[in-house]
Amino acid sequence: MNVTIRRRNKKKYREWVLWLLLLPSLMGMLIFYLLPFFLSMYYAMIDNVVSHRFVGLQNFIDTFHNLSFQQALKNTAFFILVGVPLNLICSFTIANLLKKVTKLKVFFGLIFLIPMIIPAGAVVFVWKSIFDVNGILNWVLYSVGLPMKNWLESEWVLGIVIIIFLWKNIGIGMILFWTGLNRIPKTYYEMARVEGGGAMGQLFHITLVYIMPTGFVAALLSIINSFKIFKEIFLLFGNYPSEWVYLLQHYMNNQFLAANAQKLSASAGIISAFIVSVLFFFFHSQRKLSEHFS
Amino acid sequence: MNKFLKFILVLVIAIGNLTGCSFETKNDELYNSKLEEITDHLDKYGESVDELIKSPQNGNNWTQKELATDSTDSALSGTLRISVMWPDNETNLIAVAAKEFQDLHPEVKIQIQFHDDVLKYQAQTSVELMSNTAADIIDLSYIPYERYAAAGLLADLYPLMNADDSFHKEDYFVNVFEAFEDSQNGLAVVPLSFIFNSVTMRQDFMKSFDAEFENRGGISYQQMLDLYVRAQAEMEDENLYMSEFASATNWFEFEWDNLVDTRNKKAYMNTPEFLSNLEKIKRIKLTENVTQTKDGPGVLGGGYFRDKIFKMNPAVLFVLSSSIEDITQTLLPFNDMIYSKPIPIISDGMPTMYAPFVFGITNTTQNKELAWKFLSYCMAERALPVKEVDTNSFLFRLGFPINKQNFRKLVKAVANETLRKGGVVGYSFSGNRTAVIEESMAQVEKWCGMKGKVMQMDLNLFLDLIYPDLYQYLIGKQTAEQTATRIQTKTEIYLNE
Repeated sequence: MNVTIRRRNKKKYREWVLWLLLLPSLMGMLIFYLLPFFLSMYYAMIDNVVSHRFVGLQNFIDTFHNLSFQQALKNTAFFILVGVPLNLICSFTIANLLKKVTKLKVFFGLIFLIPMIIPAGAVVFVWKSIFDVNGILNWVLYSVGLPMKNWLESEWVLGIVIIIFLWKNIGIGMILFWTGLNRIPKTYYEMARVEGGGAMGQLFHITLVYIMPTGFVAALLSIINSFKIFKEIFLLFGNYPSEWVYLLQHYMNNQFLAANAQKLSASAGIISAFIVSVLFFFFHSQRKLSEHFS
Repeated sequence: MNKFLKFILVLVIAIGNLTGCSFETKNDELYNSKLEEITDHLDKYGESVDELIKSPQNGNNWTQKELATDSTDSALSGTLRISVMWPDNETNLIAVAAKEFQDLHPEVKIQIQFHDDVLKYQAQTSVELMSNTAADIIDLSYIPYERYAAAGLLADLYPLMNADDSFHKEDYFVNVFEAFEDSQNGLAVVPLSFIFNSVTMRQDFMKSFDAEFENRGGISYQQMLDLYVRAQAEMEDENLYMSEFASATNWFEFEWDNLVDTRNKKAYMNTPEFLSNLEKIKRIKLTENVTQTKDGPGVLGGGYFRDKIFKMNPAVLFVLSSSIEDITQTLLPFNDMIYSKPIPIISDGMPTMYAPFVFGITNTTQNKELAWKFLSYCMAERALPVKEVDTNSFLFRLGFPINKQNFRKLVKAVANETLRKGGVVGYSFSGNRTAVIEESMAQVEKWCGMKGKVMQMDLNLFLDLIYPDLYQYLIGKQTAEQTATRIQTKTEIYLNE
């Protein structure tokens, strides 16, 4: 009995210590993230910062009806729906290939990680020199007699942005998948081979199943990183890019410059709600699938 | 011995009185001839402007303290924070006025924050306004204040103006205040100075093309552009220049109100007229001092005398004249000048102007009345520092002061200085100097008293929205139709935000 009480007390004590150690981070989170978020939601529910008249959800409704916001939402959604799956597929494929490489594995791994640490300005400079009207791509097309194009001002510009996004973010996905793949016991593959399972069978019944938790994490990170591509787009195109790459961050940035705290906060609230929904969906799906496979 | 000395003294005094070598300094005849000689020297060598400004007929020989005592309330107290987009030096009117104001009101403390990066200043101002941490008085000269006013972030200055008994509207160019009113007839900003846009044209060109716009009250930028294109065709010379108009920015700046309808959120950039104007803009020839680059249009550095610009390059047809020096210079009747009098640039029949020196009061400040008192002090008549006319001009950022007395003093000083400098470099004029100056002043004051239209196109907006595609068109990488479509779409996004 005494032992039980002692164990319980020790457990409580440990919990207190853990909370104490977490406190600085939690305080930081509260002061620099949660409080500003609630403050911005307050701004989203008043008419302006002078009169502070409560207007409820009117700012959110106006934002949804705003044509520029709708354009930005459409572009952002398309970018995420195309860019994120492509990123996952490419990362997974490269991780799989890298697993099979025997020589210079670390070197090849590093090649894919380097884009992550290159500053946005340098990234923009590199890609602009490729896709600019006087860039390398047009030079190649001209050399082979094909028509040139102003790629950065054409309808293909979102594709170029997706390429930049993939180039920058394949590394992190690759590392995650590589780690996940290495954790799958080799015995499962041996058993599958023994029982006559081919490469496709192994892929669908072993690899994809056991890599799923890692895949969820990679997908989540990929969605978060998809919002960060705004830096490069802003450096390339400024506050008002073409209608194909006008994203939600452009809308928010321009509201900031116009000192319209209400529209800015309302759109931030909408994006937050979207991200929370996605997170909720991901965690819920992952839990369900984990239960299914266990 | 004493008697002898007294006799000598009386003799000296008597002789002195008879010959003029007396202890008294005044002698009417000598004094008058000396005065004439001094006046002649003034014309030739340029005396200090000091003496001219302090002439009795202007009554402006007061010190700043004397001028200020009349109109200020001695019971003021509090702290004011001011944000200024200008370096801190003796040419900064706000810095100068702040020092004087604090001397007059020891209970008032003024803190000024100076900025020199426009983009950073704009971003910082947005953050501060939204978070209620903005200064009490904000310099809004280089940032688009209409959006801040529409969001209710700037105080309406009319109630403060009307409640201030010491502020007499008749001392100011009220028409300029009216030009800055918003759609609700409120006044979110006050200009401490303003500039009227005008152009001067080559006289022989003007006559041969029947372009007597001097007599027509003004010329629009569109008319100038059409005239330029016509001249290129008829004179068969593609190397004609529109000096200081030679970038596409200008057409958009002057025609912006015709291209967008902000109320209905519509843009009119995909019309045949717009396409036609794009083609005309492309034909504008740039001088070697103006270049069009992918980062933005270049700027021409003009010479002091407009005559030099026309003479240096026979192909120059138009030269922009907008600062107080430019307009005054082109008005003065120097002999043998090959340019016209300044012609106002109009839009919708009204002379166009912009304000390089505009301030607003934050709507959330607790010191609105004190802020207004300080702003009205900055606008009020002042004893202008007279060592250098250039200093005076920069005090008002090269614009015309909003106060009529300051305006008259500055224009007169600029006119005198221009005549002096003109004389030094060899330009002469006929007629009486005083009459010439008075006539020029009257003409400028007549213009400044007209109802004008403020042009406040945000240059950042132009560089973001229009210039990237315009540049591609100007260098031949994009057609006019593609350019028009793309600019139209971007502008619609901007209007709908």
